[in-house]
Amino acid sequence: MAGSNSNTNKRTLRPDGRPSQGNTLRPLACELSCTHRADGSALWKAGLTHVLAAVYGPIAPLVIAKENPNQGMVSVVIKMSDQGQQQQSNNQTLEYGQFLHDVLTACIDVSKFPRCVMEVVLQVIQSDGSMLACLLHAAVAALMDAGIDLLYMPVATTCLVVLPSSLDGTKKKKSRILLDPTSAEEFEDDDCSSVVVLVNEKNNPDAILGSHTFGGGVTLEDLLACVQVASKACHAIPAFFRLAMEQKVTRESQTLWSR
Amino acid sequence: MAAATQQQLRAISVVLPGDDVTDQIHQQQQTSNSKKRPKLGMGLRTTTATNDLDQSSGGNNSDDDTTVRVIATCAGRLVQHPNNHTFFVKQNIQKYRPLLEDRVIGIVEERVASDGSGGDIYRVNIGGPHPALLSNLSFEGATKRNKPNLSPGLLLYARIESTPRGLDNNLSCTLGPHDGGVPRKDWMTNEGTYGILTGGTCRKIPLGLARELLYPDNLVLQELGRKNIPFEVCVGVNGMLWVHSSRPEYTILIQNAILNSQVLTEDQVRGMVKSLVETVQQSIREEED
Repeated sequence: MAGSNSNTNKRTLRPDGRPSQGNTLRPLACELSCTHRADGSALWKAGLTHVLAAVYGPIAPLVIAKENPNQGMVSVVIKMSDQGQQQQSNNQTLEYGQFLHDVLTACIDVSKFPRCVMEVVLQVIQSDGSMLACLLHAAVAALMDAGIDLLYMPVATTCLVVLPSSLDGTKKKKSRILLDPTSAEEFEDDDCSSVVVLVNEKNNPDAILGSHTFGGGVTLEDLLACVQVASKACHAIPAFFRLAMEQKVTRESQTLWSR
Repeated sequence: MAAATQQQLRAISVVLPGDDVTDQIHQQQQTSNSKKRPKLGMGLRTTTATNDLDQSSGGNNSDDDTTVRVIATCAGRLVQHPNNHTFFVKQNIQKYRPLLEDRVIGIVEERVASDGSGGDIYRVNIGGPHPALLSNLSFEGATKRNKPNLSPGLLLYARIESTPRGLDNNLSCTLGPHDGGVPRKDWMTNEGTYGILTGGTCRKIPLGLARELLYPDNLVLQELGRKNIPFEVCVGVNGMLWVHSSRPEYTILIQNAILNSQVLTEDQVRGMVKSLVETVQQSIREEED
């Protein structure tokens, strides 16, 4: 905080310029079918977090012994933007991968793909906070582009919960919840903040499909507050998916399907 | 353009996975005044409604089957087939999923085993997740003594005869239940519906484009047909396009025209075919001189 005059002004803005009140998401962008070789692909941008997702499948597993005759399997591979980062955050990548694998297996209609594997490859291009949600949205967009049947459409919301003690000079007892944090916000008060990722279903915003917490953990009260924020915020992502898909279908219906 | 679409498939709306499309289907049924129950095709599933889904639909269903909801599972365009009451989600995807009685183009990979009655079983790549199996006795008129010799790399036009659960699909080059009215020709005559594709070239195309090419009034094929270039074309619903013509230049021209047509409007297709044919014919003439 440089000057006392701008102090009040700065407090109402978050580091990337969003108003701190009202819980806004960062601007979204999505490009479908952007890689040539994959069966479905999507480039998903949320603010400065950019993820490229490619879906290969349904394909036969490399090892025939791993085939499941009753249902399909999902494999998730996450690649970080540079090799050094990859080495460092290998554990975190595995954690992300396992979580995404669980959510996607629950959402994909695996009974339609016996003996097959749906391979989701996620390449992080730029990372600026809310990584897990962005990875999930990119994966879902690519799965839709590949035409893989989904039972539910998962929507992730990231909430940063800052415990009250870390807020300098305030005597409020409630902890602060920030939606869609940037990495600057995530690492600002590493000790007393935690990131809660909640996965909702599009049609049923009050139900939680999955959740993941990074950091010190949150109280029940904070978690419930996060759930409320998430159920309000989760309408924006499907609306955006629809825009992206409508654009693709409209383009096709003007040319390929016009006859 | 809209009128032309209506003749083939009635487009209703763009859907996302998880969308409840029951009301749209009811509405469509009411406008077309049909009493029959709708059939559901690819990309749709039914669920019995939970309480909150009932509330969101507003309870405006007067039918007896209000408890059954239709949910989309794919992103694409919800369409109704005009001749029957089938609703499905239309997509333009890359990866083929085998279905019974699909007509596909396959590439012979290798001989796997003998089938126990004098024939050989071959593994055929049909672009799906798993290869398919084809016996060289399942050709029209093939016997132990007189059967085609399939070598790796050979192209075949075949139909999917059976899709056993948990096993690879079986192909057949004999006429099937959906080939009524086609004259039965021995495989030796090379005039049958299914069989080996000789000459020409094959490439992969998106599945939506392949389906579109199979309509009898497909514009790009009609335009090419008017240009006085003799050619043969074979389209498998597994997204394989085989083209054969009198000259390699024409084969490439036809392939390019078909590929271009998927991103062009009707008028652009006419212009594109015209200019392509003119350039190629001119370059052939210059070469001959």
